Amino acid sequence: MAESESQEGNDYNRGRMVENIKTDMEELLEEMEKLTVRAAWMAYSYTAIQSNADLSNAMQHSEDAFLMCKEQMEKKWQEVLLESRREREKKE
Amino acid sequence: MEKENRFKLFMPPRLSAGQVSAGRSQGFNRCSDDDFKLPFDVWSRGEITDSDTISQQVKLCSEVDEENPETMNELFSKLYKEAEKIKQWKLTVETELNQKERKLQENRKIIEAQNKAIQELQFENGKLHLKLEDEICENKDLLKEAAASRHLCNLLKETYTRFTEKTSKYEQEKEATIQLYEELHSNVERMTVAFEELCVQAENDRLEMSFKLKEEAEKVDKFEKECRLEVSQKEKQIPALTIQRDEKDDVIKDIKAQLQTSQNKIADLMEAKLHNEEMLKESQVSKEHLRVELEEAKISLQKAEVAQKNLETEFQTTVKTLIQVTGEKEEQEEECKKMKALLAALTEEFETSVANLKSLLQEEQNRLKKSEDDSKLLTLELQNKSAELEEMTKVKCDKEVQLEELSETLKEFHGLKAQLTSTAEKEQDYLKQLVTLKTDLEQEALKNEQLTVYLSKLSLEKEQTAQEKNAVAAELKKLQEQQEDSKKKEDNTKQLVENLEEANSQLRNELESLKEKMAKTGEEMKSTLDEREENMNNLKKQVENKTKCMEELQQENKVLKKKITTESKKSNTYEGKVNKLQLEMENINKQHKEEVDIYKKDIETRKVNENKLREEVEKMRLLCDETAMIQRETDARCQHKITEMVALMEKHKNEYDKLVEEKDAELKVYKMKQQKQISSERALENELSCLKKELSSLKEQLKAEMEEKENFVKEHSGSMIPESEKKHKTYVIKTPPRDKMQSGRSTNLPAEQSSRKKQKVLVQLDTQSDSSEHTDLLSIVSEEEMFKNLYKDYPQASQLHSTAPKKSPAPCSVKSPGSALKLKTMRRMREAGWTALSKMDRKRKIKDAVKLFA
Repeated sequence: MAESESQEGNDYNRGRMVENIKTDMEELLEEMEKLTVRAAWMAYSYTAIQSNADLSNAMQHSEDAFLMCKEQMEKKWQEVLLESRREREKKE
Repeated sequence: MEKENRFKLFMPPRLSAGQVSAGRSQGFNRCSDDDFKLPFDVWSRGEITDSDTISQQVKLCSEVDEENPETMNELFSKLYKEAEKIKQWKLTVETELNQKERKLQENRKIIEAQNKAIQELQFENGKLHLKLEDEICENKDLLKEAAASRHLCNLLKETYTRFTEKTSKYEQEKEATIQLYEELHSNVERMTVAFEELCVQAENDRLEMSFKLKEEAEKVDKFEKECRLEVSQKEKQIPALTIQRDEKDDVIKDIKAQLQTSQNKIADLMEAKLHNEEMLKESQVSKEHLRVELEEAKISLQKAEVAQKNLETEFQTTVKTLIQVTGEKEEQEEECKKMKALLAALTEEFETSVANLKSLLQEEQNRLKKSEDDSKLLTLELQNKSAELEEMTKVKCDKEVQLEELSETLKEFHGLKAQLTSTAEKEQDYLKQLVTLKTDLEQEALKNEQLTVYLSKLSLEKEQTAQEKNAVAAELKKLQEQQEDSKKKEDNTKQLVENLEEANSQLRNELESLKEKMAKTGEEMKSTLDEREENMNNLKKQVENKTKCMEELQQENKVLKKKITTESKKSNTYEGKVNKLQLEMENINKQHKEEVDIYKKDIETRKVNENKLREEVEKMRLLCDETAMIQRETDARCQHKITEMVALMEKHKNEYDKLVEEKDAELKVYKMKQQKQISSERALENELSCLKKELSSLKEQLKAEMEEKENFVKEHSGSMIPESEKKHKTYVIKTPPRDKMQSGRSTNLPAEQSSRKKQKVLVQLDTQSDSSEHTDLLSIVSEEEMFKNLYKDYPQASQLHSTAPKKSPAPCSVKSPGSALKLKTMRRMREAGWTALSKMDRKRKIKDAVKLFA
């Protein structure tokens, strides 16, 4: 009888445990689902950020502008100097 | 026994106590009165349940025992009754037993069934136990799993919490990264905008710089032109200015000489001044001596006063003797008067001398004033001269401005600088000289001032002497008054005459000494005055000289001042211009440095480029060398190949010539043969025509025979037909070519043979030749078509081809489609081809090589 009672109690506890586990698992499932959703959104956002070519394009534009500036600086200074020299030579 | 039976009988009623008890109770009730009480008692004792009956039975038994004799009959009757009862009871019991046995059996069956059921249940229980154990195990497992799942859940929760934290962190970092991206993007955009603006600014700056450079270049050019013009103009002016400069240099030299003379004069004046100073010092010393003497005189006078007072006291005692002494006193008074006169004369003389000195002083002052006026005039003259010098300097400035303008030129700048430095040095020397002169003048002025001071001092001293003399006069007056008092007191002081005489003698002595001293002093004063006069004269002379020198010096000073001013102006202007020029030079140097730096940078870049170009040139040279080497190798190879080919050509040519000769001979032979063959052909043609006719007839006969044979063959066997047909066919087939061959061999044999021989020859040549390309050509040259195909690319060869075949068909048409013409044409074609090949190959190779190296 005691064993049966203990068994019954264990069964009851087991039932409670199972129910608790079920509820917990359900909750965890829900939470995990939420987490997966979050993770998916995070991954999407990361891919969106990484795939955002604005920075790269802007950097390229800036590099191009910088290179253009350099070229212009080098060329036109040299041209100015050459012109000045030519003029001096002509005048001389 | 009965007990045992009782005991035995006691057994069954246990089983069915209830059923038996009822029966037994009935039996007791029945058998109570039987004889067989003991057994009934026994039987009743068997009834466990009915304790009352047992007790009754006991009681009955006890009653029975007591009632034996009486009731034996009753007992027997009872026994009979009981026996009957017992029998009945037995029957009942037996039936009951049977029933019970049946029941027992049934119960046993039931028991067995129940046992079986129990066993089954036990089995089932065992199974259930097993199942329960299994289930327990499963439950345990489930519990474990549940615990594990709980752990996992806990872990999951923990991971969830961590994940949530991490996600929150990631989100934060995401936001931060997004912000950073945005910032970077904005920064990059700003950078791009700034770079673009810089580009635009740089362009604008460069344009401006270019414009500025152009403008500055133009300005510089204009300035240079202007400067050149000015230089030219001023170069023209240079000689005149040099002449003027020379003149001025002469003037300067004169002035220098004058300066030197003035310096000498100044030195002399300095010496004179020194002498005068010495003289003044001596005069001062003499004055001091005179002062000392005057003080001594004062002291002596004081002493005399004291003595007079004593004498006065003595006069009172010596009044009596005064009378005697009055005369002497009168005499003394007379003498005193004389002395007074002398003193007065001396004072007068002193006064006159003082007056003279004053007059001299005044004269000297006047002279000083005059000198001052003269000096002023001289200064004015100096100023005028300085003005003149200034004017001269202005002129010089103007001229020097011109010179400075000249100095602005680049070429004469250094010379002018040197000149300027020299002039500056000269000016500095002048300035120094002027300074020295100024100092001299100042010193002379100082000396003059000192002289004036001395003169003033002298005047003051003279005044002081005059004052002293006045004081002395006053004192003398006082003495006179005292003497008058003494006269009044003479009457009272006759007693003191002797003393007074003594005193008078002493006084006389003293007076004499004083006289002497005064004489000496007068003489000395005279001498001093003379000396002073002399000195004054000398001073006058010196002052005159000094004035003259002052005048000259002032003149010189003026001149020098003018020069100084002019030269200072010049120097200032020069300095200003030098500064300007230095600034310009600095600016120019800076510009030059900047330009030099720019040029250096350009040079460096050019050097770098040059280095790169040199490297490239070296690389190209290496490539050129390599290509040259390759060219050489290729040329060598080509040449080798060409030589080889030429050798082969020659060989082939030799061989071909030989072959040609042989073939010519053969051709001749063949021609002969052809002619013979032609004749024979004609005959043969005739024969052929006959033969053809015969053949036609024969053919018809053969056909008929064939048909007959075929019919025969078909009748006999079907297999022999095709062979025969084939044979016939072959026979048939063979005939025409043979005929043709027979007909054409006579004509074509030589050609075929020649062609075959050609082929054979060609084959031989192929085997013997070593070259690769030409072998192929040789193999193919056997036909004109192949020749055409080969020599399409060679226009020269095409010409030859065009020419060759023209020749070929003509002779061919004329003579025959034989091989001689073909051989000739082939020879020509080959030769032309060889030449063309050799030429074109070389040309092609050369072109290829040129293209490679171009």
